Amino acid sequence: MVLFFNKHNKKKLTNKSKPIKVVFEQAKKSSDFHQYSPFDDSDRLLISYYKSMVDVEKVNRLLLPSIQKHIGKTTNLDDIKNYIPFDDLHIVKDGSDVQNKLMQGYAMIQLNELYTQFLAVNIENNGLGIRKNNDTENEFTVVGPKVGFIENMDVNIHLLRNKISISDLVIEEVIIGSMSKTKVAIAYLDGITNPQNIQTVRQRLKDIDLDVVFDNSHIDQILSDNSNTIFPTFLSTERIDKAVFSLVQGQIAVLSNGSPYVITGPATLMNFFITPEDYYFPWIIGSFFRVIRYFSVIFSIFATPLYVAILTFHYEVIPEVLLGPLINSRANVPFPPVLEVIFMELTIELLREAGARLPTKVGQTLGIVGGIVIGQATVEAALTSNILLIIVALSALASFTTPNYTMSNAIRVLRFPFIVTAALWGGLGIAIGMVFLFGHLLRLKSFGTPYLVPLFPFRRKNFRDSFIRSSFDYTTARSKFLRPLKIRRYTPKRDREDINNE
Amino acid sequence: MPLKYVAFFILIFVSITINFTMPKRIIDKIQMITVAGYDYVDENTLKGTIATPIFLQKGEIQDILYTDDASMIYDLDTKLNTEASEDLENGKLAVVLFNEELAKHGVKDYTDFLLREPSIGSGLYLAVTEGSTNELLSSIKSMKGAGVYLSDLIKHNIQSQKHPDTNLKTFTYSLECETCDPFLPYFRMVDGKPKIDAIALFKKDTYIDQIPIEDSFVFNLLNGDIENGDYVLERKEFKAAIQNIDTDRKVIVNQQNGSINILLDIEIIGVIREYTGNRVLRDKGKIKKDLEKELHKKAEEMIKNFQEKNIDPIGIKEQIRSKIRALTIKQINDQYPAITINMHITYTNLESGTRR
Repeated sequence: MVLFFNKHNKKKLTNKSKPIKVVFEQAKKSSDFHQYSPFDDSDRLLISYYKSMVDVEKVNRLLLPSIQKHIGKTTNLDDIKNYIPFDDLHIVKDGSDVQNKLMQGYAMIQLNELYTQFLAVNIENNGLGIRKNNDTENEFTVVGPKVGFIENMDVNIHLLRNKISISDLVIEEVIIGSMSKTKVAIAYLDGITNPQNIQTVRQRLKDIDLDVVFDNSHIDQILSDNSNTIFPTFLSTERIDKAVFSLVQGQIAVLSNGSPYVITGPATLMNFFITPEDYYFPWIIGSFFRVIRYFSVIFSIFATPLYVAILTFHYEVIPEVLLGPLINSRANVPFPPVLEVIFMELTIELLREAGARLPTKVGQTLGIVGGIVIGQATVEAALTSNILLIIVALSALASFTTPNYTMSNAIRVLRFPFIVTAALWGGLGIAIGMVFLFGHLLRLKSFGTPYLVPLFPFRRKNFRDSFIRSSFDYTTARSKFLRPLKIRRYTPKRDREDINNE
Repeated sequence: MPLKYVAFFILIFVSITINFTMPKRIIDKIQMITVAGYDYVDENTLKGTIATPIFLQKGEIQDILYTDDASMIYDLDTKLNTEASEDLENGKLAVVLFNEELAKHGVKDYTDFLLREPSIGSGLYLAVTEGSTNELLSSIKSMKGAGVYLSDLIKHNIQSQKHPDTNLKTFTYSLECETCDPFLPYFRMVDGKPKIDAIALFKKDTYIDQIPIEDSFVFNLLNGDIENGDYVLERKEFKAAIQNIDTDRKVIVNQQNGSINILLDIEIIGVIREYTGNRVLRDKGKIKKDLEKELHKKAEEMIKNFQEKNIDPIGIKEQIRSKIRALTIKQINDQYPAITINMHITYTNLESGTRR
């Protein structure tokens, strides 16, 4: 007792811990906190837990019967350890430890109300309120696994370990959030991923000071090297294969509890246009689709600005045969091309935003409203020209091909400054906009590695898997810009030619 | 981003927006000149006619013609703008016509503005008309519009080798080049429609002669390589249509005792497609001989004519200059009318076709 008292005193003096009494008093304010004794003489044994955090069935079926059965033999907490059917048991003495454990779904067993020593039993109900599985609906592919990450980090780590079954996959855990106490994990391959990058991530995570971590994208923004950019600097994905691919390449994954998205970095611009299907199809088909995706990004950014520039300033470049249709379709439109384009682009953005907010069942109506009513009616009301409607619709369609949602949002936004510069200075304005865009992209970094990697700094070998996806015979090396400890991923056998010649 | 950067960007943006505005030319708020014709009035005055299309519904085009007299082309521009309902723009100019009289007085002053205007492309076609350009332009009744109509007319004739290659760029090149002379298509009104009737030959920038369009094959032969041309050989006893003609011109320059001697070695490869005689296979040799003879005669006449007029549209002087570096341009120009130009034309028949 004296010993305890001393310790208690000391802690109180150093102000590191709360007295247990205060902890319980605070807890008792909540209606879901239970503290009771399973026996009539209440001072023999006390059990306390948050009902909402523990698995009540386990308490009733396993914990209480075993204690009631063996209570005669129990003189101290270690005795209880021997007979209750749980594995995660701790002896806790400290007040704030008690508080934390209670919040995590532990039950506290106290032999006597006077004793300040507790047995913490883990009866947490992990899966409660969390969906059991996640189909990768937001990053859908026809071929390939459909299981995605869910909101439970333990399951996510399990899913990762299923794919990478070596002990080199290291998971480091940190707690972030003064209120949420969210578990955040760094995953990397020991002996492959560059330790310097790992240290950067570790350090940045350690420095985060947040109250509640709502989602992994929250962490993404805080980890980011430049918070004033519209481009995502880390790849976030709900697909297991994508996360594993990044890990294998020598990138680092950051998972957080309660978020079905895993962020991986250091990422480059090219990473955001890769889909797993590129690798599931033969390389020629995969490359073809990838090239189409790059083309569609360029189209989606520049189609409407070019329309504005050409129709306002550079009528010379329009072929004679196109002049008639263009002029005819614009004949009754009272606005200059800029207003016409901004009006139409905003309409599309509205449709898209409304589509994202609406419940799925009402969403179908939106297609009809957007496509038929607005599209047809604006043309007939001479608010916009037919040709612009096609261009805007095509560029919206093209922006949907970007596999990463954050990146496709960036492309949506990027169009508007270009429209403005095109309206002010025509083709020259687009060029000025490009200068600013490239200036920004060239300076952008992700965990200290340049964002435009195979282009600048120019890395010839990286072109094997950036604009096109070459055959697996040639994508054997990890990207050098990540500075992995091992460059070679696998060694393909060289006897293919013999098979072909037979 | 620190505040100073934001302030910097705003400053730059505002100053550029205020100080630098591009002239707006929204396509439905302008009238695009597609063809312009210039007629000679007197020493200091020319009469300009321009056609601008009005795009009607259903893809139809109606041309509006504007005509006025002016001393210079930009003067004309200002005058015509007072007639037009929208701003007249030169950017889609496809064809520029000069009437014969104007061409005789030299066209250099009027091509100058074409070269200076940045929105005019160098693929523009120049042409000479027999009568007034105004008359020619008002005669065109086409859904395409006069500009596209005329430029298509010239373009397809160049593509099918009826007329040697010409546009603003080649014309001005020949003007600037001290040893060459340019040529242009020559329009004549036939049954109320414009027709490319001849190749107008220029001495520097003044029109002096023409070659009938029937002889354009011979001109092409001398001018350079023909790909996929055709020629009809007419004799009293038979006619033969030779098609898919590929030619190869070599200019061999010899200098002996100070006098220049030129050999034009022309190889022709073709296919006999149509023959009115009895048996092609038997007469092949005769066709070959007749063809070579006929072409040789025509070519010799043509070159003699060039030398008499002291013009060089086919670029022989340029060949001399590049082969004999010792001669100055003046020496070449002086010697040109007197040099002997020999010809060696060979025809190779690839096939004579099969008959059922």
